[in-house]
Amino acid sequence: MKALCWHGKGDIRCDDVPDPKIEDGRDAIVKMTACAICGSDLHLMDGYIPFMEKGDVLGHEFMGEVVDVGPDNKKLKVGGSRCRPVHDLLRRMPAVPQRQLVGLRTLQPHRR
Amino acid sequence: MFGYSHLTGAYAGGQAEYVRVPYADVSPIVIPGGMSDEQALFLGDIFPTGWMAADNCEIEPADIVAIWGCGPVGQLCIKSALMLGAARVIAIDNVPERLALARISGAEALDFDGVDETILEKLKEMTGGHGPDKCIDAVGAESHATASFDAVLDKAKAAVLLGTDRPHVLRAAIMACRPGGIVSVPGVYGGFLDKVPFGAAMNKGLTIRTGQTHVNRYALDLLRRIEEGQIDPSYIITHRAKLEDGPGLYETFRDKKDGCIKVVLTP
Repeated sequence: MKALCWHGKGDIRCDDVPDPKIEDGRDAIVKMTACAICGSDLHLMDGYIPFMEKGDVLGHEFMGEVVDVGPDNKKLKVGGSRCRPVHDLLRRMPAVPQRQLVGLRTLQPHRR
Repeated sequence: MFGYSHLTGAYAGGQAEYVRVPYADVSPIVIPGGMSDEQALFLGDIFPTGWMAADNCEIEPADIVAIWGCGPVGQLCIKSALMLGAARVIAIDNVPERLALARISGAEALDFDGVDETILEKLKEMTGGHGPDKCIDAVGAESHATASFDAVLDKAKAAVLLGTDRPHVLRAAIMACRPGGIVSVPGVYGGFLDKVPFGAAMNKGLTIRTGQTHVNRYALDLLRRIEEGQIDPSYIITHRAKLEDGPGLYETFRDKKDGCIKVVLTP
């Protein structure tokens, strides 16, 4: 599939990369129907954000159709539903939506 | 976070034909059938960002809100502040098409390159001498501010790695805000600040609110407002192209060429 990838400061390329697959039971695969370039993507382009590697796929402003869903995902359905994933990958939603959701973000994939 | 370095989990981003969404049963916003992609797209980041920045200001009916930065987030701060009841919004930038869009949204536009006096004096003049009640820094660490003395110092320090961020706008917001007001900072900062007038902030009793956007706190309410026709966020889109044209449009967006305010790509 085509994807916009980081290749160094000031160097963004449209590459051909492998399609993503379901890795965890709660995952979904979204077929992108629209995406945008965020002002904060420019910090990546300008080399302000450390720990980027050549080939990293960019973009957190995107939405699309749900085309695959893991067995543990009871919320999303394949076919006919569009969703706008949020860049905060929250592992759970608190019962009361308090102001400070940022503390629940998953930043590292291996953390439980 | 999607597509935002190995610091945030190295999750592949969404400027791609297909995306794996982890924990997809928690935060994704389901979009109703009647809403276009362009209306919905900004619900996941910049619309709640602009809204939260304005919400953090606790806007009261007589408030004058000054907003630095008329990029996409700043534009949505302007609309959000007016929807939340601000009496007047003053929008500050130097890019003509961005100031023009701010005016169309109902703000008074202030070109910081076009004033002889300093921004602080101009803001005092526009607010009957007391300064804006609430100030929003929608610029963050990479402020430009052309020729002002502190901006030149910031750039020099960053060039020799003595400083990281350039808080020209934050300094201005703190200095401009009337005593007891609120400085709301959606603008992204990464490192350390120098020469920030915290004495002014303390002695004027300012409240400073900041943070990454708590998208899911606001998303359903903002979805409803779009459905009810209160706002169509797609008004900020100036450039539409295919995904493979993305690299060139990154440059157009970065350099603010061709009147670029917001770029949307489709597969």
